[in-house]
Amino acid sequence: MAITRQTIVNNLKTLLQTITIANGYYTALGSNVYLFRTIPMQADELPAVVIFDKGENIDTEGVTGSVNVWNRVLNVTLQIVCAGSTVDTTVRKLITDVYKAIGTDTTLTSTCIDVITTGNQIEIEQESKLIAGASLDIIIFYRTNKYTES
Amino acid sequence: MDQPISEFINTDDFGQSATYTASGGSPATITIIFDNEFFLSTIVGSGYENTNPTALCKTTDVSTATNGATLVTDSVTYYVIGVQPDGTGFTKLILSTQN
Repeated sequence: MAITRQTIVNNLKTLLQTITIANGYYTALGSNVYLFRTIPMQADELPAVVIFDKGENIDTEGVTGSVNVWNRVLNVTLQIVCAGSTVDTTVRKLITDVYKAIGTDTTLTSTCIDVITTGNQIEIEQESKLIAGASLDIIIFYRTNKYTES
Repeated sequence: MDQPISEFINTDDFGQSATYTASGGSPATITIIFDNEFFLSTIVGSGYENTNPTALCKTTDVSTATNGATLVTDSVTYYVIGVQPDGTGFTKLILSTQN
């Protein structure tokens, strides 16, 4: 049986992969979407976005809901990286594209209750290449049965 | 002071020729010791395989160097993004391929 959290992050990855210029977005970020990537990126892999479902809070024992249901709050960070001579402009487009994509399916193919965004941070660094990154925090609300997904 | 530096930075050893152009200035051929070692950039927690190009120059060759000056070596144009004189006659230029 599928684990709901895994299905959610898989669906989020699939959703972000729809970010293409042909689909009406500013960028082709969807070509490089990763889950928990730890190895460094190379120039031909950018722009890229890495999904980290780092933490989760669980409301159990019926504090706000049924005693047999867990209300789960999944904290996800999306790390965007891009390079080029106009990275500040590019990174703003990438952020806009990610928010737009999430807005097209805030239940991630009916696997969660809602997806909300809580903010983002931009960083820029320059060595041989000028690179920029953005960290986008989102929260995914979903429910499962208590202790078991079945 | 200048003579030992010229002996240190010369094309018979580790030096190589470069065309240096100060901001608003004219191109000049100088000799540099070029380095372009690997550098792992970290941006919002993600790693990126970058390099950190530098040019060690005689300070007298680049005495007016400011950010935005250019250096062409091995047919690659680099922009100066940092000027680091060491006070002994050498200046290290921190370079980037993007301005």
